[in-house]
Amino acid sequence: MADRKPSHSMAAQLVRRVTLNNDQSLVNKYASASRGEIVKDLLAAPPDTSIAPGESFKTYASGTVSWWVDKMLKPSNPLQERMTWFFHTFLTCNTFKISELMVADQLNILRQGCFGNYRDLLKKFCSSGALIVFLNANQNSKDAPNENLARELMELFTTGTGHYTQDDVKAATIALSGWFAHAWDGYPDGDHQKGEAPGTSKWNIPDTREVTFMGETKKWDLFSVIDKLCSMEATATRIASLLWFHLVGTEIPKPKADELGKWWSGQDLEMKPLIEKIVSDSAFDENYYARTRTGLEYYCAVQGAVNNSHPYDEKDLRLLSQTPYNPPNVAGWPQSQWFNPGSMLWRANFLRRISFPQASLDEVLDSCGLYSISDATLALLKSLDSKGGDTNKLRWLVTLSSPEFNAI
Amino acid sequence: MSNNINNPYAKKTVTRRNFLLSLAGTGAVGLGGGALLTLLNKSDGITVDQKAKVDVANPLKNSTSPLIMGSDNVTATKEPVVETAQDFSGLTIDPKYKDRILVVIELFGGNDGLSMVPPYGTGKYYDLRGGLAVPQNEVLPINDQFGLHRELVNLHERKDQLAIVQGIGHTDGNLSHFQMQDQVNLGNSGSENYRTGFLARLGNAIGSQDPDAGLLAASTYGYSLGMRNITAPFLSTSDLAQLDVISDKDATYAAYREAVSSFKGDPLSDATGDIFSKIYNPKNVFPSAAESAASELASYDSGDNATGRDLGAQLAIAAHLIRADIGVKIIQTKISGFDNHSGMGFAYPELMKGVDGALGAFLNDIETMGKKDDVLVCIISEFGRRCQVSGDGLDHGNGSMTMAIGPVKPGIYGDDISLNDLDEKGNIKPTVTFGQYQASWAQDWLGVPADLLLDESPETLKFV
Repeated sequence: MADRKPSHSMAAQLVRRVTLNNDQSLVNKYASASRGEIVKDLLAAPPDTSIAPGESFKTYASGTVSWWVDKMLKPSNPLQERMTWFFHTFLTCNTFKISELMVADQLNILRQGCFGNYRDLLKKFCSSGALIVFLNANQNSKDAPNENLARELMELFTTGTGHYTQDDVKAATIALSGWFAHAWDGYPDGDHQKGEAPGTSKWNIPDTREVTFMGETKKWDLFSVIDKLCSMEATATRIASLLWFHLVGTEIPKPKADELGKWWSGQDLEMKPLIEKIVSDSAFDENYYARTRTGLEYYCAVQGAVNNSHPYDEKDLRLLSQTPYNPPNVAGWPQSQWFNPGSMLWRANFLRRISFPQASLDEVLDSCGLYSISDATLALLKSLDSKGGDTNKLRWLVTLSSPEFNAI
Repeated sequence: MSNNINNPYAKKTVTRRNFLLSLAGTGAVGLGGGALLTLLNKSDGITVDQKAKVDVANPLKNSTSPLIMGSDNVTATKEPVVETAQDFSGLTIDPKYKDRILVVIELFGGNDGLSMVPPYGTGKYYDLRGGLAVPQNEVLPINDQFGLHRELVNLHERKDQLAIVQGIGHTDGNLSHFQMQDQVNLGNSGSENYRTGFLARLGNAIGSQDPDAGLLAASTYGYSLGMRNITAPFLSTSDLAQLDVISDKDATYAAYREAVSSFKGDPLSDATGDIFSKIYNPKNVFPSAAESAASELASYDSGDNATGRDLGAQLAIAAHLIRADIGVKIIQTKISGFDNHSGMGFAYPELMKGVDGALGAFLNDIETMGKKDDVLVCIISEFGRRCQVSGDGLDHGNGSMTMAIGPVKPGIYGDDISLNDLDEKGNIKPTVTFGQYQASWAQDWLGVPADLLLDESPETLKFV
């Protein structure tokens, strides 16, 4: 591994993981700062409070998605966009089933809540129209229980499997019954302009019985169920481990995960201390280039490398197989499994659509944020001058296809 | 399966060079398949095991348990911690299966098999379905019990090539699209909970017979669950033009292919570690999209039928791969639109018209290529729909009808379904498992014993 610019290496490895847009001016800014100072500075930046646009009665949410991608590429708070993206990878829904307005509402919840308390975020997320429709809470009524939301709340959003029984799922299903949201706008009376929150409605009859959930018998509801689940250390451990993988790029060893979960429980599931804790860990420093960039992460990184000069076209995201709000299944996006012949072909095809600026090899590597590079890759890049064809284009294509650039 | 398990964590030796290079791309594919074993089986050099803390002073440094990078137990929440590696070392596929190709068409959303293959000889069908039933005089008959939807004219012309499967369904279904789709694509119907897709395992088994094979499997849309974690040479593309990068004669792209083919990237295997050289394997030479497009793709154009356009575009890629004759064995296609909760009377005939138009064009093409006896098309959907009508649509159901098209023994397969004896939700009780259907693709059509792929070793349907 060669450090091309030792002064920039650490900042570059940090920036590529805690932001999405591969902004080299940020790397230059932080070149002489310590890891702790960089994280503190990023966390202190004022959050972007702008509101994502969305229309009712509109499917595919292309307006909301393009607005969001623009935020990712040109963030006013880069860490906020990274964290919003992290949450979207598992707190998600699919435009296949819900309108653009509901997508926008859910996105706003993630963007505004990603630095706050996980329990609060989850309450807003689970009671949003998008999720009520997406996970069939609409159809969970007294006479026809639908277990979808109850099960996913535990399996995907909190403890993960192994910490609840089928009886807990049944009890939570009863506790969560009676919610309703119209599919076109996500609000119980189908008129979001009235300003009412999604909630119970005459359209869906709740089952108001007392039930035994996690060993406690009482009248439970959505929020008390979430409170209970978030008080369990398994939730803290699981969510912290997800963020660990996302930011560090390696699986957290189990004893360390348990320790981190216990610690984060003590922090009352506040996100900012968790981010700071993970980024400050020595493993963060030691494990860069440890996870493959996902399709969208690759898109943002390439755009950053060419100064966002490639015009937005939703076809690019489809080509890279990661259009926001179009995940492959209810569990959201795979965070690994992005390095395979299929995805490398998609990436090559995406690169074919880009016009690259003239640049020397050093300039290309700087633009790409590759301050640490393997000897083999560097030697290959240096040999390209004699290979024929358009050397500038070839240099960009090969650099952006390198293992280093594909990794995070 | 338990007979075929190797311990992927066994201490093995690895060449330092391969190991370090293999760290380069990272993250990526989970711990599935024989991939890790392939890496670890390399001789000479350093010895590592999963727990080893390897101080990699070189390429892409990585100090904690590099071999478990990308393992999914913290990320893909619906997956088990570890999947056992597959060992195909005892497998020898009979040469008679060599030229055979499997094309899977997934109808996502829960296709109503009772509309696609109406049991028009059963009065109860008309009682349950009312206005949504296909009228008796419109059904294209197969026998006196079953026929095809009136729009499936191209398929009906080939009724001597149809194996109809009745009663396919889940023994433990929960009616969730996503969970059932996972279950079908991963082959998780038994006690084993796989991380690799079923078609991936099938592809890996076939790939084990020829380490230098060119492209072996493909999906014609984006991320494919069925092909998940495949280690055999695999491509996924939703656009024929994407393959041009493989064959582009432009000097820049020729240099690009040569350069990137030296990259190793996957931490888990040599097999997928040199994925670039798999994509750009000189054996993978396709005619360009432009060369192929004008004459052949025109016949796939189903006009203003969206389903036909979507499936047609995907089957055109399939035909392109088959025509290239480079050894592609498994192709997965997938279309949506089958979640017909409402408006089914209008929507369903359009869906069938699209499927039939695209499939008819594809089958014509295959016949013209002289590959009629080599290509089996299998339709699959995550579940069927409720027997009783709800409004002007149908709720999620279970047992259903499906079919395979190609060089089959024509007929109806599976034990009889009953519309008079439904389950407590009002769904058809399954008489055939998805495992049986998929085992038939693997074992009967492609010569890979089902017990190497599915833990229940399901009995095949013997339609080929």
